[in-house]
Amino acid sequence: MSNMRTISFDGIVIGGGGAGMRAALQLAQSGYKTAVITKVFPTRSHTVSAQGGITCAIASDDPNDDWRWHMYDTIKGSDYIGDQDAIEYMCNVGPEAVYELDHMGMPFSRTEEGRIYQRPFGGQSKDFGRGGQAARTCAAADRTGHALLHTLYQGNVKNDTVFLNEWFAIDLVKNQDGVVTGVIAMNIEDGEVVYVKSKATVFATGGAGRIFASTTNAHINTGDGLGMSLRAGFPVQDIEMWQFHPTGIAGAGVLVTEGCRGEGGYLVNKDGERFMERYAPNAKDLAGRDVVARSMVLEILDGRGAGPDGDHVFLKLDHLGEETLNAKLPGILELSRTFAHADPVKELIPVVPTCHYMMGGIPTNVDGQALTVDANGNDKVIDGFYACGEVACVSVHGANRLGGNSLLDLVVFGRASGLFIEKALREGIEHRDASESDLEAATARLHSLNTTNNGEGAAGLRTELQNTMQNHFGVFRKGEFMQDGIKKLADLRERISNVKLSDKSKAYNTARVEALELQNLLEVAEATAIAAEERKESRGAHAREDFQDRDDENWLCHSMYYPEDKSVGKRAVNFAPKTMEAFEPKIRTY
Amino acid sequence: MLKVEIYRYNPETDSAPYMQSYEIDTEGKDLMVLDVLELLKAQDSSIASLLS
Repeated sequence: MSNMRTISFDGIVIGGGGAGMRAALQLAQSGYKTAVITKVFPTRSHTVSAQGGITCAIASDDPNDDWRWHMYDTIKGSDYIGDQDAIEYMCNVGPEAVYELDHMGMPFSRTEEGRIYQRPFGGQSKDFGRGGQAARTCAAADRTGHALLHTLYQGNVKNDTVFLNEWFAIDLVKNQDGVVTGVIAMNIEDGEVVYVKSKATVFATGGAGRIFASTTNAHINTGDGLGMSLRAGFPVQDIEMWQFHPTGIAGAGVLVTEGCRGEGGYLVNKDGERFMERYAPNAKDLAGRDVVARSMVLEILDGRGAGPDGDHVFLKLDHLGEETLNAKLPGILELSRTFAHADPVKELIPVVPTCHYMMGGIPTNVDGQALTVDANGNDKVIDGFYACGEVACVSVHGANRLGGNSLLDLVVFGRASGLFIEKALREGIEHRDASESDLEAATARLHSLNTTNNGEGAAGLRTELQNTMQNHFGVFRKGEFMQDGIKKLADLRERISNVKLSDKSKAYNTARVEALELQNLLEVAEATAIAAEERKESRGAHAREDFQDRDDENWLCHSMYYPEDKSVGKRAVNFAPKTMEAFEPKIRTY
Repeated sequence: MLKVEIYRYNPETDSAPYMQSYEIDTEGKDLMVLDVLELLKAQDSSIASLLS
């Protein structure tokens, strides 16, 4: 590969969503030569789909709001395996990060008094669960992610961030000391493969919802960051924890925001009954997402699902009135009319729990430094390697993320990673350069794909993978079923490593990109499957029919999946916030 | 059957862009353009489209 071009930056960020662009902005503002590598145009990253808002105690709706209440909700929502120091940091620093966005020009919705509009979301409370429902989610109508992403893109353009748009990162480059020195990336436009070298490589590649057949995630959410990281031998944490969003439009998978229920909408079964009153008498439709999703599946399994196949329930919004719906949820009206052929002003929207968010990911500290665990069980920083946003597991979401916390996670930890790298660059970072053989190792997968001629096509393999995950690792899970799924994935691994690329052309060869993405999907799927089978309890989004209770004695911990021997270990959850006593695990009811 | 006309161009082999026709069985489903493109790509992997 001696003819491969090398380009160098002080910092590179893989992924142009909210976390990546916030990290890049921090570095570029400080004058460091920063590049964002993104496989789509940045404002097309999946952050753009975030609808309802960004949860943060800015005390606009309630002048007495307290970030500690938000911290309590988030820890309870995580089913107690969110790291309390990281959650404390996020909830405490959050208001600063949100006001920064406001000052950059992000067009938030406003109250009569001109303050940022906040709406109620699931799992929110006042006074540590004692003061009833809070309204803490800052919103720009029902297109908050869109507003956020455009604001950050403009900030980056203004600060001369280099955008490598429609470039696909293929694999990490590690030097002989195991330090990450950059990535191998391909320019999709002309197929050129380049070594992008940097003192700091930040993964902000987002989630991997496309491992499931039914998902609210875009086609691009293929877990590229996790694939690269796992192939480099680095562990992933809590990867069995996948959130199923209660309100995906049945059949289409498109999301309608939890903000619909925040604004007063609720779920009904085929008999028109508001069934959440039975499952969560207090919070009802605004209980944690895992609780609502499971309740919906139980309704459907009990024969109270709607439609010819009885396979969905309904979201009712018509009682809110056309004026409110037009003002607060205009995008939802359009999505429902287009994808469900139902007009929410007068009809019910058919909805079903749909894969939405990956709580697990690359373990990091609050500075975004990627971690592994050494032989003595101690955390060890991976030099040169950082992660933030959905691909990272700080962990602020634990076993179940609260609505509105993902956008906060993006900006707070994108910013924190940027701040840390900025300081490290100022103090000086020296790495040994990658050798010729290090680069060969990092390009081996691409080389193999380009020379294989006898395998199966990507499309069929991808469908098989997605169906396997959907059927064996969905909302409810069972040991023997998961073991079957793991066997199917082992077979798929053989076939996917040998995937056939019929079209070997260079310019805009999206078939090559899709084959590489498929291999990333497989890495995430297998890690998910093995970790899910190993965690023998029910907690948050991980619900097992064969182990129905939470087991704090054995599983009040993170799972760590190690790709080299496909083993699963445990890592302690942080119970040491800096400014207060820890919140002790309690039975979680809504 | 749905008939789809696609604008094709491969700078490595074509001197100019051209239109190509495809037929696809949508099984009566109400599909979006993106879904149709995905189905066509499964038939002919040389079709390129930018996702998202």
